[in-house]
Formats: sequence, structure tokens, C-alpha cells
Amino acid sequence: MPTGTSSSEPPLTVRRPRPGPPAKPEDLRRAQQRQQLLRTELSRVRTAAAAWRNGLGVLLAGLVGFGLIKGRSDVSTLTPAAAIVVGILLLLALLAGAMGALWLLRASFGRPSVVTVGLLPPGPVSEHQEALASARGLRRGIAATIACAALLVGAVGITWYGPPRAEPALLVNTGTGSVCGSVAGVSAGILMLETADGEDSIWLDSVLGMRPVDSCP
Amino acid sequence: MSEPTSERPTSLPYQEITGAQYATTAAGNFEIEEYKIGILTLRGPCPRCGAMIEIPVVDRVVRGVSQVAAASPSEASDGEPVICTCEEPHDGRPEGQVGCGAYWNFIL
Repeated sequence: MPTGTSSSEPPLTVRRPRPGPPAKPEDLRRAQQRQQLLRTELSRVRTAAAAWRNGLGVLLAGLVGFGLIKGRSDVSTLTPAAAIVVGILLLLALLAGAMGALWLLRASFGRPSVVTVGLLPPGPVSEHQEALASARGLRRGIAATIACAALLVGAVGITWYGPPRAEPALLVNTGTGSVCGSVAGVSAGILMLETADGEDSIWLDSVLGMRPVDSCP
Repeated sequence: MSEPTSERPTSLPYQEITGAQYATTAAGNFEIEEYKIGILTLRGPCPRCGAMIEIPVVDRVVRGVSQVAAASPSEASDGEPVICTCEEPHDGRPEGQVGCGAYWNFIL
């Protein structure tokens, strides 16, 4: 990379260097190290991006393994609030995953932009800028993909262990008072309700009115 | 310690060498071009082998494992160390290295 000359955009400024102090072997090593880092940085970033992309892909694929351990899988069985939280987490996971994938692909393969040839900086500078941009994309891609995995785990966790939706309840007015609970069954003219105090049997003849409620008062 | 610069690039063997006139000669022929803030390019002919070289001088680089041992900043001289980075063939050049072996310091 750091050799030869190339046609390029005009530089912002041009000046001449001044002779420095006598060079020592340590200066040679320092310059060699810098040049080697510069010469290899784009290929190192690309290689690292490919490795991270594959590794994070395996991590996300591993989340499918959650399906082997059965838990609640239907958000409609959660309370509305918990279901909304799960929905938001899944949406954020989708966005984070998509952004992470795009950043990792950008780090691996670059951006397919079309530029004016005359505006390109010299090759070594252009490669260095691309390496920095790719490294930035790689860091962002890693963070976004890990965030995606964490959000997915959170969504699955809430789906498994979140508060269940309450059974539909019936508020029954018997004239002597109201009884509220979920229907356990009806048999021989008797309505059996599961109430907070246990099972309650009500003669249907005594019922003056009833209405479904989301939860008992 | 230095050699004449009139020889063709390919005729010189690789040799890690410096000399006071390298910095002086190169300073007269090199230009510092600034393309973006913090990114400079040194452009000019190598004072030893004469190959035209272009060296980015940057303040940040993507970190990675380097096979070259780092020189401690306290051991290095003040100034910007520069090496020839030509890719012309020079006999005896170690694997993975570039240039003819010439090195010197600039004040940027």
C-alpha cells in the first residue's frame, strides 16, 4: 500500500518537511511497525469483520435453541402490558439485528459508492480512511448484534415468565349481592364460579343479571 | 554510512541504512500534502534508491498484532521516522518488508 504515487484530488495544503535529527535503529523499527500496521490494516479489518460476522451469526442461530426448551410461546396469553413490552422488544431486536447485519456487511465488503475519480485521495490515504470506516462499522455491528441477541432473550424471557392474562370473569347479580369469578361449570341449574375465596355455587334461578368483566373488582 | 543516489532502484541490495544527507536530500525533494485533517502524505523520491514513494502519516491506525517489535517512544528520536516504502525489488529484503532499507527523520 504505501508505495508508488497515484492521481488524486488536489491536497488542501502542500509544504516541505525539514530534516530531522539523526535517525537511530529505534526510529527504523518504529517506522517499520507503523508502515506494517498501515499496509495491513484494511485486510485485517476485513478478516476480523468476516470472523465476527460468522461468530455472531452462530450466536443468533443458537438462540433458536431456545425453541428446544418449551415455554410459553403465545404472547396473547400474557397480560396486555407484558404483551406490549414483548412486542417492543421484538421490534427493537429486529431493528438492531438489521442494523448490525448492515454494519457487519459494510465492514466486510465496503460500501458500493460511486465517486468521482478526481476527488479520490491518494491510494494509501484512501485505504486508511476505508480501514477506519470499516473498523467503525465493525464495532457498531458487534454492538448492535449483541444488543439484538439480548433483546431477543429478554422478549423470550418475558414471554415465558411474564404475568399471564387473567381468565375472563363473570359478574353475577343474585339480588342478595354480586359474585365475581371465572366460570368453573354449569350443572343441574347451578352455576359454579371460581372466586377469590374459592368455588361458589349459584342457583341460576336466583340470577337477576350477569355480565363479563376483564377482572373482578 | 550512506550511498550515492544515482544508482537504479533495482541495482541496490536491501540494506537498513541511514545518513545525515538522507534527511537533507529528502527534505529538499519531498512534499507534505494534507488531504484531510490529521492525514498527511509524504511524497517524494527515496534518497537512496530514487523510487518515488508516497507515505501516509496518520495519527490513528486500526490496532492489530504486529510482527514487528515496537520501539519504545523514549528510545526513538524526536521527529517523524521515515523509511523507503518502494516495492521495487531489492536483493536480500526480508519477507514482509518493503523498501530498500533507507531510513531517516523528518520534522513535519
